[in-house]
Amino acid sequence: MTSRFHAAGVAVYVDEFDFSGVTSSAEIAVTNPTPEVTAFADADATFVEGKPGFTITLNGFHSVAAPDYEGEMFIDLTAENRQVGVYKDNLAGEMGFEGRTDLSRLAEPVQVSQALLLNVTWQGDTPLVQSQLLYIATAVAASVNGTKFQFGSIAATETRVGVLRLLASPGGAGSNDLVVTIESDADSLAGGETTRITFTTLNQASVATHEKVETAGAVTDTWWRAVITITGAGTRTFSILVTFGKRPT
Amino acid sequence: MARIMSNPALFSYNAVQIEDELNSIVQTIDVPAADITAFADVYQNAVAGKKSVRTEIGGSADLAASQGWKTLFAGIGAGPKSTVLDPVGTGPGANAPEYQCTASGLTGVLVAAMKISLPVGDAARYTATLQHSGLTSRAVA
Repeated sequence: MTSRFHAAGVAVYVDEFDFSGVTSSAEIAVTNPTPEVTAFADADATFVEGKPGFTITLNGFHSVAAPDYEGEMFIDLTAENRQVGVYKDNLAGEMGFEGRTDLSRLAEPVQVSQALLLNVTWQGDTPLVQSQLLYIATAVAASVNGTKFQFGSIAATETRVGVLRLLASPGGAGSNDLVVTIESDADSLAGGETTRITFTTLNQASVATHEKVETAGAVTDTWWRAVITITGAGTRTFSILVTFGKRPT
Repeated sequence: MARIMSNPALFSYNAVQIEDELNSIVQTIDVPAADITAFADVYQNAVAGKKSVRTEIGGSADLAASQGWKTLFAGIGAGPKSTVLDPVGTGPGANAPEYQCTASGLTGVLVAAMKISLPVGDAARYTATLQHSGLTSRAVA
């Protein structure tokens, strides 16, 4: 039985900004050139593969506050390496995509008696990442081990990709450090975990930000989780999103 | 008069059956017809070149492992893979041909393009273009 789904709950992120509230359509297109190499001796037409590429097109609505979609898109149209994430839903365990991209087209249709739209096409500049949302919380205040999900193993020809998004400045008061790691395990039971990715420590002075960490090496473990460690005497709360995926090396 | 429904069609890529997500499979075979019309011909005349096969598939997306999207995505850059299209669903047989492209050397199917669409008002859907390289055979037994 397959898990086909309605796209009504799709979550969209650009860097540390959640634009799910102002987008209504996401389309991810992967192209792989297949030049023809047919020779006289071939009985049938013959082809080989080139280098794949991808685009992510997000169609949405002009918004200038909460979130400032228009402002963020125009802030620097030539900014490179924007981290675009698209997930089936804003829930731990949901599958999706991550891509390091450059904004390649911005269209703003303005038509009488129509909603003001803002459509953006992102051009990928690294391989598209097949990703899974491991952990999401709007106000995590204490250390916690996220649920383990069976994302699968990592081949020697693949790179592990973790993305941490701090969606807002920490709430509360005092001083706290936040350390996020991603661990693998051979099964879903407690024990036997190995840390595979460690993000830069965040603290009470952090502002909304994001970080992508890539690590190499094959991993036979198939279960993955996010581990949240909060230390310090303060009462800070953190709004975070942690994803894990893989891409061809 | 054995016209039949396409409901039971089967399609596999790299030995993974993905027809449980698909609702459209279009296999197109192009044979370049080179024009050789001469003055003495009454009508246009052509000769056939080497056939080229391309399969367009589409359906509802399932992002889980071992399902269509991930299986096809893993094939990008991974070289030719085998596909089997069984439009009748009972092939191969005398009245149920299967179209097979079996990976070997340069022969096999390359994933030329994939697209997933996630509109707020509809199901998640995807399409893929598969370029056959080399022989695609029609098996009847």
